[in-house]
Amino acid sequence: MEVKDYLVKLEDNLMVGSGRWVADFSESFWEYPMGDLVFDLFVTAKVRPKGFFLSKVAAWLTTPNYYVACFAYSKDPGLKRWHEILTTISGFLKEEEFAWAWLVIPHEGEFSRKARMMVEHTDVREVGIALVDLNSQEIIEAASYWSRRMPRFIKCFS
Amino acid sequence: MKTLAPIQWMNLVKSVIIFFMISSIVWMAANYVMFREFFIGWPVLLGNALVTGVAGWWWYRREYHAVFSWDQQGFGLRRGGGDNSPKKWRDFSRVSLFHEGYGRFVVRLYQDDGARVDIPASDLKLAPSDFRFQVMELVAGRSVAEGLGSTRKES
Repeated sequence: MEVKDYLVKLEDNLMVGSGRWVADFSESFWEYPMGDLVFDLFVTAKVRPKGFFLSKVAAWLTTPNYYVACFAYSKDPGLKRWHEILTTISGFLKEEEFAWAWLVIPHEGEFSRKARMMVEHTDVREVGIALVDLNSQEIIEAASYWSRRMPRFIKCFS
Repeated sequence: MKTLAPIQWMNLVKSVIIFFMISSIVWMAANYVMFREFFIGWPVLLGNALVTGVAGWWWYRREYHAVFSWDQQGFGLRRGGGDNSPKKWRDFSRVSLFHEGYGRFVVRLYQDDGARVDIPASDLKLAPSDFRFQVMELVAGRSVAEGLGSTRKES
């Protein structure tokens, strides 16, 4: 599977698929520039879902209304700009008052041992991180809570 | 210039149902006020259906019907009786795909000053994701010779 095909499926899964269980992912940008980086995919969401009158009242009473996002960045599978990527996302979350974000790094091939170690040992509370090997369909996630929730929502290979 | 103006059956049915309910309530209220009785029968139902069909069609054309025409340079979009001033692709700098809910998508174009235009891709019976990529190419000023679905090569 090519990166573009995967990202189209990921976008679809977030907006009208299982991603709706996490948040209402409603707007998606491709080739989104942020700082010195250009993210392949950037999807924004509100946690409070849409709906008709009763659903809206129920959501208003039970769900906090904060923003979240999902980023995909495929241009650096070796994670040479790892610190810059995380700094950019953390800065965006703070500046725009987003509660948390997912970062998906898809790659057509195996990730280096160093890249795996870097992700597995990264502990940024508000950013869920996952490496996606599109050839073997393996997902390597970081240890944080949002990272551990990611695999079932980003596993869209078929 | 290519033009699309498909009938949006969901919006048309919605318009007809709304007018059917309104005219039914008005008919019953008028009956009760004037005769203290409700007259219901096939002629009444057929008359109501005819009136609401015409009124629903008028409302649909006035509020929902979209006519979209575009070429390499720009596009025109008229929603209902609204404005159809032509716009240039190059006036926009960013494109997104926006989910309005219930599987309905619009392709959203942003200008540098934050102003935006929504092209109702689902209502126009266009494949939203593919159409978005085509619009991205047009906004970037590139050729769409590769056709729908062609996009920047990733990674």
